Amino acid sequence: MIHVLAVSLGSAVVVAAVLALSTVGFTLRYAVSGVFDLTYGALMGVAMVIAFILTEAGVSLWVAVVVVGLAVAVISVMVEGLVVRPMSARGATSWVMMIVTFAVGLAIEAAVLGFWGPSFNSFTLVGGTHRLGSVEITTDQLWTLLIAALCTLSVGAVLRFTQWGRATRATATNPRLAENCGVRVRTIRTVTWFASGALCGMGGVLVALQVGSFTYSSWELFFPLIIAAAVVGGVGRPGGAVAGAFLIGLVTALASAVISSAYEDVIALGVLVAVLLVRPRGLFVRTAT
Amino acid sequence: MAVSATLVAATVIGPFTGAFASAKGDVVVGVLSTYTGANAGYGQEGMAGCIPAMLVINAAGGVMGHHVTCQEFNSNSDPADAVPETHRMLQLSNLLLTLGSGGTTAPAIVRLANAAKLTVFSETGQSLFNVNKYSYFWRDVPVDASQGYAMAIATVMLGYTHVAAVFGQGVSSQGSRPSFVKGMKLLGHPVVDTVVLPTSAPSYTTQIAGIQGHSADAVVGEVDPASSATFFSELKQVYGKLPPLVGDQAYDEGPWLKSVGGAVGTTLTKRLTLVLPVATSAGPGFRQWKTTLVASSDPTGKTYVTDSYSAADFDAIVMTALAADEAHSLVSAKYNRLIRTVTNGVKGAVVVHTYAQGVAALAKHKKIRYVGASGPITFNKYHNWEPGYVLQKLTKNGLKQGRLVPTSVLNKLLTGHRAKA
Amino acid sequence: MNGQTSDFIATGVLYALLFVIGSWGLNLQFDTAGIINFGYIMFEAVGAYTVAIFSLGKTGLSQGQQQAFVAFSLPFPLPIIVAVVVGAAFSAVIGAIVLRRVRQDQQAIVLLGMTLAALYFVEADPGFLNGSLGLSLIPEPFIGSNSASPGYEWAFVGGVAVLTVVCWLLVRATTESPFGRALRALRDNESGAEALGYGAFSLQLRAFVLGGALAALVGGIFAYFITTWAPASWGYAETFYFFTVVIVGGTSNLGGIVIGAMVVVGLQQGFEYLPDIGNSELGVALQTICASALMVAFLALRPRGILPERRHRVYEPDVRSTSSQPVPADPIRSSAG
Repeated sequence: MIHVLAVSLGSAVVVAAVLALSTVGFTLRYAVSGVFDLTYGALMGVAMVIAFILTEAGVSLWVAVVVVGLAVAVISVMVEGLVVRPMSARGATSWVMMIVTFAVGLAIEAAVLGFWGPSFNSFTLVGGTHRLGSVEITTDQLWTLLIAALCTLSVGAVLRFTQWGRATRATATNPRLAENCGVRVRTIRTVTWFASGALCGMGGVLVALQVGSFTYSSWELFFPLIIAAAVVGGVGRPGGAVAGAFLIGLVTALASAVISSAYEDVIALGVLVAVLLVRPRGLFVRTAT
Repeated sequence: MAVSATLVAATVIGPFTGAFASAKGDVVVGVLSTYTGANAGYGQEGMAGCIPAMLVINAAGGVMGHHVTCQEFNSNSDPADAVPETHRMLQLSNLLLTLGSGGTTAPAIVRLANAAKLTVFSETGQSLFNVNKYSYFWRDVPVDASQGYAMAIATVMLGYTHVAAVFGQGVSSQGSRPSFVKGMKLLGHPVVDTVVLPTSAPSYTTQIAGIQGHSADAVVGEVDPASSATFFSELKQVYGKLPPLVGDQAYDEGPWLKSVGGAVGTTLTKRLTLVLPVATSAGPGFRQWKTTLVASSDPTGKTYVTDSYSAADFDAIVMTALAADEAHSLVSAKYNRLIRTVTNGVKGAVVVHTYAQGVAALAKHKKIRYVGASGPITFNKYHNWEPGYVLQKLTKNGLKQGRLVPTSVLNKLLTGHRAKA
Repeated sequence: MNGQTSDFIATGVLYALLFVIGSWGLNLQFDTAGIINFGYIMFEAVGAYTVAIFSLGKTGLSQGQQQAFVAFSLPFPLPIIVAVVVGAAFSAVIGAIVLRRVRQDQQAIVLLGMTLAALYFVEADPGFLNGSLGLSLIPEPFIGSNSASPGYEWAFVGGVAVLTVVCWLLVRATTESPFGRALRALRDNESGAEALGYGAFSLQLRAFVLGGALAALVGGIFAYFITTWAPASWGYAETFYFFTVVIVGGTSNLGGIVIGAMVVVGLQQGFEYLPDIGNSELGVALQTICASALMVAFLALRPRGILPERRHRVYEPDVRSTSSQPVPADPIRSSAG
């Protein structure tokens, strides 16, 4: 059993890291706009396809990751400006926004299908493995961990230590009050969705890299994990998002080893439901807020 | 038979997948399959059978002088969506047959097509149709359950005695898993580990570590393309290189090979042995289908050149067209029962391998037996085909045939008896 | 094959009617009781599977080489009645758990999570409800066989049309009743309503159960019509179409919901008739994009729906009510979120 866990530890950490990166992006949108953005998953699908086109054209994978991050960042800003903001202005509640973003996500996914088709594609891996005890990890996985760590730590640092981050946190806590205090909420939102989009794009490519092959709809089965991690960690809190991602990732790996592995995804969702029933605010939220 | 000039002309002029403007007098093949979602590749798989069939039939003058065209209908793998789509398709008065109808959608579609007296070739492997009363239903692909037994025999023939059974949660995996596990037991070499993979999980290293812990000498089973990519690339990583693999018809399908081949690399073909219905890759019928597919302007055609389901779809259309020719009618109610005649053959029938040959023989008032891309097919009384199986390997030039799976052993397993392979 | 066009239309009409009944059920849960049930489709699945296992019986299972954890062979209309009862019971259990322990804005996600977990569970265990394959060969009502007798589509439409009227009366009676008024009071001002003596929990639970029973009814009818019910038919996305109907049609407006259902079903089916362009995927993609764009347009232009909420009449002296004025029209939607 220990052997099983040791062998799977490397992958479990990588998956958790990618999930964490993706979840932070997702949760940032909720934080500043109060929206559970269901276009997020479809945008990951867009990221995968753009990255593939770039790598096929000879661009290095890691450069493509950055470029795709920027591309999705721009698209996200458009989603925020063209869809989320006008609907919020009309008084749409958060759950109505969920349905609207769901519809927009459907359209985005369909656009990818129409443009790209349903075929499977894979990235060419760099290869090379490294061992740490009985834990094995590939070069690509190390790069993945590096990118995920860098991005999430940067987000955390910006939020905590910069003026900008303070303004963002203020917007997340109480937009009206923040506006009255001189924070330009609209700008904060645009920039946050931009950053979130970058994380979304990068996360999308890293997921595709991890699972080996992807189609235009591969993101569909990863997205519930993001929602679960976000909610478990306390929706709207990036730090909680990371913790939630690791919790979901590691609990499912453990449960998979102990109980039958066929129920892995049931367990992941079960954790979500259980947490919400027991601690509705999420596991890692200080009750003072 | 070399590809004729007319055929080449048709391929150059004919548009590719999807939009075929149906001229007046055309007959339509309704490819009712999945064109969206996780299974979206299977619609194209059907087209990879339909387009070559359309081309060869039209090159030989059509069916009773009418050109064939392919039209797609999207079931989205959902029976609830399949029902209105089936009705929408059945509105056409010039349908030759319908094919596709995989997995969960088959019971809903077959029922309606049969009631509308339209020939329906389904590519589902469910045992539900093993005994049925649908006279318009035909199945020229094997049942998943028997594929499971065939895989078991093949595994033992290859010398693997401590195998890990790895299956997905998809509809055909659900059919082949129980019989594979039972088959291994009846053959005296029970599996050392049975793993069911949750669909499209981000990682399967836990399961792989478990397999490693059981010291399995081969991995056998059926997993969907998306999950397979993740599973087999991680298997390769954990083991250092891919262990020996055995798979069934699902593993020679276009989407699967593209997905897993892309994730794992060229080592896949070296390590994988396929257990396929016999004569899938040999013979003039298969060659014609493959050549036509590759030469056609179907941009995804090359993905499906080893795909026995596409080949089976190609055959379905050709044999139906030949039946229509023999019946001198475009009404399914008139030619449907002749499908069995032209495929099983009767005493004294001339064996033909292409549509053109078939039409020529029929013109001379001969009885024919069509042996096409799938090799000789014999429909039983329930319009199912119980093929023999053969081990095959994938090479650069396509499939290469190996040893036959002994039918006697297969029959023993099918009836629940112990056997030796 | 001209009868096929009529069958195609019948199928469309039937699906629209089922959408209507389902949306009324969702409307009961959402608008009347303020519960955002993003897992509504799961309740539909409960009804459908119940019909399947109560009409297939052991013979039906073995005939199709299917598996289920239990099976009975009851004649129509018993299975559908059992389905509604089971749906209500299931809703009672889920509702009790969710209403007691979960805040309103979390309810949506909890219910969505439960639906996903249920879906994954069914797919993981083939012995439970036959896994991904689902249950097939469900016998048609009255006829008992499975062979698509001619005209059965319109027979279904007729029967369900009658059922729709019955449901209309039932739902309207519920929303017009003291029960309904109490729920709206609760929705608009929870603490105020509680101060007046309305027990929040039991009221909400009753609305939830009623809505869930309607969902199960819809699922059961689908199972009878399609004769197959599989996980592919109850993905979590389906719930969002119901919500779209409710929003487009106007929450609280039963008649508007009928129009909303026609709009949504029309969008789903109508774009099939776009001429095929280029490759097959492009055609399908354009259909989805157009349908989604229209959905968003409706949601954006009429966040309150096509027909606004009816004014509800208070027309008899209620001992607890101190006012005989008509209840004011529905306030800002935002407060319900």
